Amino acid sequence: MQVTLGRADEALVISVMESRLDAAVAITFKDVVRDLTATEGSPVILDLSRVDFLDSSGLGAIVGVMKLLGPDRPLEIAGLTASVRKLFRLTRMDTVFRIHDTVPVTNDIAAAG
Amino acid sequence: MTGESDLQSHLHLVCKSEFRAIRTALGEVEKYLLDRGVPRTRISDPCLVLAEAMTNIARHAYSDEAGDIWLTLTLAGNRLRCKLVDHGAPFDPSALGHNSPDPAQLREGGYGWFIIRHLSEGVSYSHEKGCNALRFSVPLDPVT
Repeated sequence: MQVTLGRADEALVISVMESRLDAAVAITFKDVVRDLTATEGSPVILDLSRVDFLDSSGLGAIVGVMKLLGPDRPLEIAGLTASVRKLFRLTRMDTVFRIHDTVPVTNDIAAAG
Repeated sequence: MTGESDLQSHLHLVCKSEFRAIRTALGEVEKYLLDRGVPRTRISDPCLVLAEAMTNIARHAYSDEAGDIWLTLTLAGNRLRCKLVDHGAPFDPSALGHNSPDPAQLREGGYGWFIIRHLSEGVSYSHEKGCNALRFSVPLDPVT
């Protein structure tokens, strides 16, 4: 599970560098993102532009990350591919997350994974 | 299926009930569909439904112990008929209910069966001779 970390204004941008966010990596994804967001208090934008397969386990992990961050620290989503967007719509998760059509330009901080 | 055999194509796969093995099997399904001329934009539904069905079997029927999942896929016209058989504990996924979890509850699970129900047709479950058998048919619709 590889992700990269960037910053756009005050937001932390976490880019998933995998084509699949599924049952095989869901727990690792949640652990990695928890570690990356442990100390920072800024909003988090999750860049899914490289993910073309998301299943319910991956979606559950994203929801889990949102809950870990807590109500005062919004998790926003950017760069949904067509099939991932369809799953967000189907499960009505598009009503829960603020979704950006494009991924903000970032200054890379680090890679992790 | 007398009279239809020349229009149908089958894929048989055996897959361990482990998430990495499920990924590999889904890669085979994807290749099978692409090789038969199904456009890439239309394979996401069947691959998602099969992923959810196999993940359910791994988690619930085999309770995270490795067992085998037998897949029989039949491409017939504009749909993919699927049969999944396993030797795990009797597990009727329809007992999970039909509805999607309320998004406001922020549940981390419970979406899989809803996805299967929503994207496929003719879902049936049976338990015969010590095997779970799940059947469904997925229309090969484009992503909208």
